Amino acid sequence: MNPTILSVDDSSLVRRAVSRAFARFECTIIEAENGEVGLHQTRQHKPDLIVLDYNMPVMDGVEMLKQLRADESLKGTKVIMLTANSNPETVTAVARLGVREYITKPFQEDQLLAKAARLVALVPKATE
Amino acid sequence: MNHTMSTPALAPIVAAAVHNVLSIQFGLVAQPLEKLPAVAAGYAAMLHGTVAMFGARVYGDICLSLPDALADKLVAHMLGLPDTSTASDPDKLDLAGEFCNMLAGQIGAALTGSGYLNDLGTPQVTRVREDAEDAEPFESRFEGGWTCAGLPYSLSLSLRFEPHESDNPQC
Repeated sequence: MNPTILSVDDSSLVRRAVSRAFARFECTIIEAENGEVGLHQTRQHKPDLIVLDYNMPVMDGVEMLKQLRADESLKGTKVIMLTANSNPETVTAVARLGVREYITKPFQEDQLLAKAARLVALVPKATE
Repeated sequence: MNHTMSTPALAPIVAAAVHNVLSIQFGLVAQPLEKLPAVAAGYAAMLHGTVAMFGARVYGDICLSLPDALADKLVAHMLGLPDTSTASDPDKLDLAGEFCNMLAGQIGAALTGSGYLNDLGTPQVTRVREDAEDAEPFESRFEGGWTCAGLPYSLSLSLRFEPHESDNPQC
């Protein structure tokens, strides 16, 4: 079954860049503009992987992670942090919440895909 | 043990940040300008992104100013669109904020590496510069200009660095 990937970022451009990176693989991409919407999307779609920003209005990435980990049915969801913030306290907080993959913006598609491929099966789309 | 901490030189930190963000995220290069670029006729054609930096020993603002035409190019490069494509206004505003956010992240990481732990706020974007003058004089200010794809932009840092505890034994 093809993985579902949720991109959570307040920047529409970043969400589209993430979607573009995964577009050549057999997967479903969904988006959310903050942690609150991200939690709602997670409960609704049960994504296999979340690509998560930190600094966002309404609810930031760490708060979304805390709520995710507190939910028995969602706590095992795999997460890659994709953020401009490399504050050691944030990195530590994220690591304590079980996230081992941390990408600092700016990012390259290949860097994101390499980390994603460690967590979900990415099958290239058949060429026409 | 020597705890003395000098104020970091901002110019090389900013130059590295500009290079990294433009090359990694947009596949572009920046050429430094000797003088700050003149503000385009009318602020309405300029985008201003600001990210607040806050920490115990460093705080202030990182401000980016760029013309709409450069935002068009950067959006196109970020999304793999034709170089001549025109971005929507929301995309240009988004670009200004995210570009400033990435630059601030790189600068913040370098300052953390120099012992000035900091955190960053959410980017704020305007078309009209609201902070023409600082509310208080900042001890370390940097202003620089570059061209990218033939279009000018500028970056300014207004940061205050607090001395390390051992530099000020009365504290």
